[in-house]
Formats: sequence, C-alpha cells, structure tokens
Amino acid sequence: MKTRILRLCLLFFVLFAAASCFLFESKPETVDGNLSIRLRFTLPSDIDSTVTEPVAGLRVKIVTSDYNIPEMYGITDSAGFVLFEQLPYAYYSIEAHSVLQVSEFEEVEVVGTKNLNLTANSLGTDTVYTDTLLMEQSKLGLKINEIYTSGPPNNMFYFYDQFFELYNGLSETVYLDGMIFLRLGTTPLFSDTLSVTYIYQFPGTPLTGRQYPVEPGEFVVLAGNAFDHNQIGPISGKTVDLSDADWEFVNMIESGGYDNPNVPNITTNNGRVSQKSKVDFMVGVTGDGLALCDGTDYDQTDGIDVNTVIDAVEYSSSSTHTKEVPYVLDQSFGGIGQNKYAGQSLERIRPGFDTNNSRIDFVVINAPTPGYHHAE
Amino acid sequence: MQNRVLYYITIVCLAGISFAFAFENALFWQPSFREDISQPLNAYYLTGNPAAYLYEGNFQEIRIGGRFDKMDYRRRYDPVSEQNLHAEFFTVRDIDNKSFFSTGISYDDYRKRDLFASMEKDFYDDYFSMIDSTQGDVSYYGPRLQILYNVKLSENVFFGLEGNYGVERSLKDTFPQTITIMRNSGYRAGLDFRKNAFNMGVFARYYDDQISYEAVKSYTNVKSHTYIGYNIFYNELPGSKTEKIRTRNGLEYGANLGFGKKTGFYGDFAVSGLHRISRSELIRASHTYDRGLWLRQGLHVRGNLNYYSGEVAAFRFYGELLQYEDWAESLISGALVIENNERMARWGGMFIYKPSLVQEAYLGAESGTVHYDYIEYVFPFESSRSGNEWKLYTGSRLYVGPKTHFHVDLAYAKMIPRFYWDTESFRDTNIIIGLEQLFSFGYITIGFEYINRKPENDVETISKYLFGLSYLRK
Repeated sequence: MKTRILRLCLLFFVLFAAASCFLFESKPETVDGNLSIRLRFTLPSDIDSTVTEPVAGLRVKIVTSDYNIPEMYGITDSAGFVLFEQLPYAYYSIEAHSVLQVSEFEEVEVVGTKNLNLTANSLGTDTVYTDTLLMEQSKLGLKINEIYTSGPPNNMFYFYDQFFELYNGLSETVYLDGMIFLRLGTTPLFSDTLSVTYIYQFPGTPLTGRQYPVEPGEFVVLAGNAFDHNQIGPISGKTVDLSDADWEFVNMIESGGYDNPNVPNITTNNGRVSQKSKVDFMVGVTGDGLALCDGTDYDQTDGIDVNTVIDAVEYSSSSTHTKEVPYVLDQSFGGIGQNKYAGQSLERIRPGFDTNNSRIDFVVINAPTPGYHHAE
Repeated sequence: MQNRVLYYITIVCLAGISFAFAFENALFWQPSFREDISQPLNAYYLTGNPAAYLYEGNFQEIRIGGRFDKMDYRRRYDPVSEQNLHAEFFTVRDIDNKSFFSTGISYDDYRKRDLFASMEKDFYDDYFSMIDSTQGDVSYYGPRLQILYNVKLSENVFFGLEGNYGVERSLKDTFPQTITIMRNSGYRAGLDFRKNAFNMGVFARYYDDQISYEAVKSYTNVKSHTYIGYNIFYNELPGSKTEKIRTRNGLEYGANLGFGKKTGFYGDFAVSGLHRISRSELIRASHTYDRGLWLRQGLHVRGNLNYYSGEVAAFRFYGELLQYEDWAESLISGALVIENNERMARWGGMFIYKPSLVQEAYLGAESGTVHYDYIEYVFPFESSRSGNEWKLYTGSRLYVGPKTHFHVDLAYAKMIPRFYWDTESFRDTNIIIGLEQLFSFGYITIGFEYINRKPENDVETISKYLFGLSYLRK
C-alpha cells in the first residue's frame, strides 16, 4: 500500500512539474510608456549647402494610429531639438512644416517627416530614440489630393461612387491636356517603368495643350460615375453628389455605361490609349496604386516611364500589405486602417501636401470631401 | 441528517445556477462559511480537495433553475440584462466499501441582452479584451460534465480525483456576427489523511480554458480594437474576419490541516498557491499575431474554528486571506504594460441557536478589508483603492410540518468594487427562501433568491432573481 501511495505522489509530482513548464514566463524588463523620442530638425545652410543649421521654434506633430491616444505637439528649441516623453512603443508619423521667407517676395514651405516603428525589441534597453531630420522644400505641384474608393455605409457592396480629387498647389496655372490617369498593377519597387491595369486620358495634347486649365489652389473632381449617388434608395443621404464633377471616366467600349453629357470625359479605348478591360475606371476599395502622368508616354504595353509621373499614390488598409509602387514615387502607402463600406475617404493632411510618403501625407477621414479639403 | 441534506440541496440548487455564470474554471476555490450550519464545515468545503469529499449515501438529483439579472446600473461593456437557464443531473454512487464516485452533467442557456461592443463574454475578466462597434444580443449554450472519484487507499488515507469538461458556443447575431467557442477542462487531485481527531491533506488543480472569438462581417469589415487594460486600446486593422484565441492555464496547489470532532472544538485550515497564465492571439487572414500575455500569482489562506457542543448553541469563527499579483506583457511592443496587486481579507463569526430538533436559527457578522493597486503603463493610469467591507446575516430553518422544511436567509453587506465600477462601494441586500418537501418518491425542493446591489453614488441598481427546483432520490 505504501508503494501505491508513493507512486501516486510521484505521479502528482511529475504531472505538476510538466504542467508548470507551460505556466511560467519571465517578467519583461522594459516598461511601456517610458519611450522618449528626441529629434533634431535641421535645414541646409543658405551659405554652404553641405552644412546644416538647426530649425528653432518649429512646431512638430507626432501621431500614432496604433492606440486611442491623441496626437502630440512640440516646439523645437534653439538647437533644433524637440523631445517627446512618456510615449508607448508604437508606429509613429512625425511631421513638421514651416514657411520660410527666402526673399522679400518669395516664401517656401519646408517639411520634415519620418515614420518610426518603435518596439521594445527594436530599441533594446535604450528608452530614448534620437534622430536628426533634414528638412526639405515641400514638393508643390499638381497632386492627387483625395481618393474616395471605399464605398458609403451599405450592405449591398456599393462602391460605384468612387472619385479622385486633384489639387494645384503651384502658384501658376497647370493644364490637364493629354494627361493620363492610371490604375497601377504590381510594379517592381526599383523599376523605371510602371505596370498598368487601367489607363485613361484627358483630351488635348500633352505638355503643350492649353484647353483644360487648373488654377492655383483649385480642386478638380474626377468621378467614376458623375451623378448624384444619393438617388439610390438604400444609400440616400450617405454618399456624394457627383453630378457636378469636373470630369468623368468613360470606357469607350463599355456597352451601356453611364455617361453624364454635362461632364467632360476622361476616356480609354479612345483610339489613343487602350486597355483590355471593358468596364469603367474602378479601383480597389481599400488598396491600390494610382498615378497621374503628363501623357508623353501613353503606350502601356512596355510600361509607363516613371519620369512622366506627376504624382503617384499607393494606399492599403493593411499595414502588412506588400508594397506595389516604386519607392521613387511613394516611399510607403497611406490608408492604413481604412474601413470599407463605412463612407471613409483618404485625403492629404493639407491641400497638396506631399513628401512622397503617403503614410504621412494622407489621413483617413470619415466622410468624402469632393472639391474641398476636410480641414476647411 | 435529513434536515442537513435538504438544506444542502437548496443551496446547491441555487449555487448551481450562480456557478453557470462562471463557466470557466475559477482562479480559486471560494468557501462559503454560511453553508451547512448544522455541523462543522469539513475540508472539502474549504478546499475542494476531492479526497476530503465525504460519502453520505447514494443519491440522484435533478436540478433546474433560472436566473435573471436586471442591470440598470452597469459598466460600459455590460449587457442591459442577463438570463440563465440551467439544468443538471447529479449522482453519487458507491463502487464498493472503499470507493465511490459522483458524476454530473449540466446544460446552460445563457443570454445577454444589448451587449455593447464587447466580443467577450466578460470584458472585465481579461486585460486583452476585444471590442467591435456593435450592440446586440448574445446567446451562450453548452453542456458540462463533471466526475469525482474517491478511494480509501488504506485505513486512514483517502485519494480523490475530480475532472470537468465543458463546451460552450455563442452567437452575437448582429453585424459583425460574433461566434464564440469555449472549451474548458479542469483536473483536481488530492490525498487526505484522517485519523481520530486529526486530518491532513494535500491537493493540486490544473485547468485549461480555451476561447475562440470569431467576428465575421457579412458585407463590410470588422473594425475591432484590442484593449490593453481598461483605458487604452490597440486599433486592429479592419478585415472581413477577426478571430481571437485566448488560452488560460492555471495551477493551484495546497494543503489542509484539521483537528477535532463533530462535537466540541473543530478546526480546519488550508493554504494554497495560485498561478495562472493567460495568452491572447489575434488571427487575421490566416496569420497569427500575438497580442499579450498576463500572469497571476497568489496565495489563498482560509480557515474556520467551530464549537458544537451538541446542545442548543454553537459557534463558528472563520477567516480568509486572498492575495495576488499580476503583470501583463504586450506582445505588440514586447514591454510590460500592466501591474496589479490585490489583497482581500475577511473574518467573521456566527452564532447558531438550536432550541429543538425542528428549529434552528443563526446570526452572523463578518468584516474585511480589500486593497486594489492597478497600474497601466501604455498611457499612464493608476488606481489605488482600499476600504473595509462588512456583512450582517441571519437565517432560520424550521419544520412547518412533519415532512416540510422551510428556511429563510437574509444578508446585508457593503462591498468595495474595483475602479472600473465607477463607484466607491455597493450595498448588497440578499434574501433566500426555500421550501423542501419529502414525498414517498423523493425530496422536492424549491428555492428563490433575490439580490439587490446598490452603488453609493447612483439611484440605479442591479437586481438578480434566482429560482431553483430540484428532485432528489436516495
């Protein structure tokens, strides 16, 4: 009997020891919320461009979409430093901009931006991240300013109210004549040419045409289907009226496709640019690549030359999305976290603001704003 | 003896319904010192050590019951009301003169109405709970099996083994639809040495709870958030399906020591160590993402000292100390995100008056202290709360006929809740009424319980109504 008891006790001990192996973990040494980010903002010197100077009094914004914590602001000191303390480990977008008076009659906007993915594992025991950001002149120009593709709140997979908005951030008029608007395919990230899924073209002659001007500070709305989508019962009051859009996409070989006679067309299969698809211009609801090109290269069979690109944007709702647009055009992608069929849209944080880094340049907004900016 | 068994049935009948809410294995065995006032509590009441389970004859019992909670005062992720229907078959049977077993099978249908956003059954029970953005009704249902085996190994040594296994499914029928599948199992084993006026035991418990939440949106995306603690959440990427797996493994090990006989002084004391680890993972598009793990370690000490003279009066004094510490690691950042320290102590005394064989009454009071110390690090938050709790209770049991037994129990208590209740204290009022009747075919018991919980800073309350019906055949 004693042996039996002894065996039972031994069995207990073995089972206990085996179970314990799964139940013990060591307490992490690093504490979240203790992270500090120390940044120095500099500008190339006016006298010697190889030398940098600190930017003092610069308002710096740091924001993370990982947590429900508000965006934070700081001001650089005389040495160009700004310090953010007591931050959680997260993915941060840092952005600062300033308008510098370069002469009596000229101002330039300079921007300093960076994306940081900071985890306890990436920083080790160090809780202070330090970096220097060299500010650059803002890339002003004709930009793809808003991308509304995700559909209004609905339960019938309606996303045909897509539109794209352009914005002229230059101080002079630009002309859309002959420009092409592309839905991009997957392109090698260091390629010189772009793979194209859809290609649509504005009427007129590229570069030299002067029929379709866009004034400085003007928004231009390019509609997939230029009508009031609120006329569709289940989404009435939840979507956009595109009947007054500036342009409408039309596929010339689409049978029975909608074409608003009062809105000029951007066309494909028009005898100049062509694509196999017979459907209208539609893009992925929460992920795709878009490009606006000057139209000098419109033969998509060998790809579109990246040097003809005026602006390109990649977007995806997934942070783990595999990038599809070359880095030279867009260093990242915007729209992370965008929800489909929720009426959300993607717009630049300021009209025409462009650092070639869509994760910083764009913000997800809760309602589309065709022809104006969400901050207005 | 008959009186005691019948009272026990009523309590178990109601307790069975209450326990259905805690479908998952509890962190620790919670002794009820008000149980079984006719004689001293034995070690099984105190510890759950299956070796200490006392065989008192074969019986089969069928229990059905219901519970309805009206939560006019509630937290953000609590439902407006809850309803639970419970059915159970329980039996105790001897195998030979050295061993016996008991088995139980139960089925619960548990509903929560207007549960806001929470994808979890109990949002506040986990540091990594998930929410979406919807409000809807949830229905949980499933069976649970229990088995206990007790054998006398030698003249003074008993061995006990207990296991339970349960499966529960749920559906939150809204957008997104949330389907929950829970699989829980627990194993308890113990040895008990009993000799004359002395007993001593050791016991251990291991449990494994697995929960899978699957939120599916039929046309648009699931937009879910993973809370890290109770204030900060991590924005999950939207997707057509979001699944969370929570695995919880726990261990309890301890010993109990007792002395005395059923008349005169009798005492039982137990101490156990608690250890539990909980892991959360998110599955999206066939990829698994670790979200967090948290570990709880604690100590549970309890004991009671009884004096039963065999005359009209008896006394029971008891005490309990529960203390545990938590830490949680975010597996998103790889850093410590939560620390928590809780300590609860209570002690009380009970006077039992038994003027005749058909009359019995008791009067008791208990007091205690609680201390909660909770820290979140992601975005600094700290809550430290402590205070005194107390409870006054009384009750009576009497035979109103030769085969009819009636009992009533009343209690009034002050309770200090954790910070997320947004009130400093609750006042609990509790009434239990039971009637037991002996028929030729067995015992029929009906019971009713009402609990009212009132926060100190609000006029709204939480009301709970329980009823139970059982049939026992010996």
